[in-house]
Amino acid sequence: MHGAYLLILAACVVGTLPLEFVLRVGVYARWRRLACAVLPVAVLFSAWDVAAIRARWWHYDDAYLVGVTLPGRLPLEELLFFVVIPVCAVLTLEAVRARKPGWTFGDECP
Amino acid sequence: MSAREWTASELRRAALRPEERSERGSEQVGLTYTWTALAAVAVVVSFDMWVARTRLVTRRSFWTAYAIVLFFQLIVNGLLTGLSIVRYDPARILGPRLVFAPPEDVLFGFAMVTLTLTLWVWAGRSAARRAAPPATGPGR
Repeated sequence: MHGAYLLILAACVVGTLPLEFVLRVGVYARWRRLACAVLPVAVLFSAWDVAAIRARWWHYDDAYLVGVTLPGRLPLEELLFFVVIPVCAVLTLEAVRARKPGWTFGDECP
Repeated sequence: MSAREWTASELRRAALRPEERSERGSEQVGLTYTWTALAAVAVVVSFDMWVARTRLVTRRSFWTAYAIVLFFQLIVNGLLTGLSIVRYDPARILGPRLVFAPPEDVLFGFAMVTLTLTLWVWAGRSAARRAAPPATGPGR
């Protein structure tokens, strides 16, 4: 099934949406700060992935991919993975903050 | 790794990459994913502790969030590897599997998530300092 990997990523996005809109963590709302956190990670880990694909540490089964391949033979899903999972991680951290207002996170006003 | 497992690993690897079959193949490429994943964890933790000075790895807030992320990572990774969407060269990894995935993936995921959260907190702290300089800031 060609959409399997994309579907898993979509489930990650949809599954964490309630944190933004029910718990009101405001992560997507702070999209510039989110980009500062996610874009460097997406670039670095995509580069690692491209190197690993080139060196044949691992490979992807085309049967589960939509078939869009980026430079470096990187499947589109992999680039999306390196955006979606970091966003989910930030949403999770902010959800912990929402539930535990007494805990420190390192970004409180000095 | 026992000699017998090593041979099985060699065989699987030879099946994966017949064109590069060689007597010394595994020695040349042994455990490269394992070592780079460990190095990535060390680099990211150092960045958190001593460059960004966000010190997330000393905070229970971070570890609570990471525990939740890890739970879901094992599900997502288990699907990706259990369905064989991604397949690994057995010569590059230790061999044991955790919910279908090599444990190296947990290190890879830890490095990715920890770097993301370090950058998120770093960006937030910088913004907070600009908004409220230490000399005049209200304390929290």
